[in-house]
Amino acid sequence: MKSLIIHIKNSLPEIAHVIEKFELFAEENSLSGRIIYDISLCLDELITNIISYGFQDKAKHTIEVQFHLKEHEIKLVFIDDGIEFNPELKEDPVHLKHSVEERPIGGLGIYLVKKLMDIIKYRRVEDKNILTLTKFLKNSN
Amino acid sequence: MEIKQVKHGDIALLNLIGRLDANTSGELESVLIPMIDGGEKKIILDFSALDYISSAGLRLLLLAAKKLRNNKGEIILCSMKDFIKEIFEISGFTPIFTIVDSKEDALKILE
Repeated sequence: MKSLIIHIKNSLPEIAHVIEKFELFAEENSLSGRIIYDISLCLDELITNIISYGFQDKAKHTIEVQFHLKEHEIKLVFIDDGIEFNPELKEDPVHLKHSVEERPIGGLGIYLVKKLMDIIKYRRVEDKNILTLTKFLKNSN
Repeated sequence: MEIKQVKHGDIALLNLIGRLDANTSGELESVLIPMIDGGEKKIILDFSALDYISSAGLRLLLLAAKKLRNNKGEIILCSMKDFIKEIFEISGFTPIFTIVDSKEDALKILE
């Protein structure tokens, strides 16, 4: 198993650094462009969410992102000390079939993550959110 | 992201280059929304050089489509890469946007 662990501050420009480091790790390990795209999108959506909604004070916080690559899967773990947020409980947008006029703006980020990843597991341990996402790598990847 | 703007008669064509995400959607918003508010009714977004879109980008496109619909205008998206097409599909955006293969097709529809 190959792993990469990154710590970032709760500031939006940090997301680009995480994606950059992940892309390097992915290229070193010959992941497909498709997997890189899907995982970058999940990183973007989830870290944006944590930084934008997770913290109610103005203090600095550290977010840990882990990548664990095995032969047939890649696992991502997000650890933050923000307010409790369980994406498993977030309902899917029910408005997907609505017309332009009816469709509310927003609410898509977590839904995209759920659709792009294969397994999502959330735990609250003491004052931390621990979110584990798994994506299966098919032979073509 | 880089935005290249070209006029074809009464059609405004925006070529989007790079990434459309939480960080960059503000740049497109500051071009697109004033354009629609200023009365532009025919807009083409050329996605041929767009490498990435996140929910922040999708949100902006929906906002633009809503505004244009209110003004009886139309927006067409063209030359979308396969993985971006799939994000549109998952998000349920495919039926609410006109998406065509090429800029030429988009121009033909609006001319």
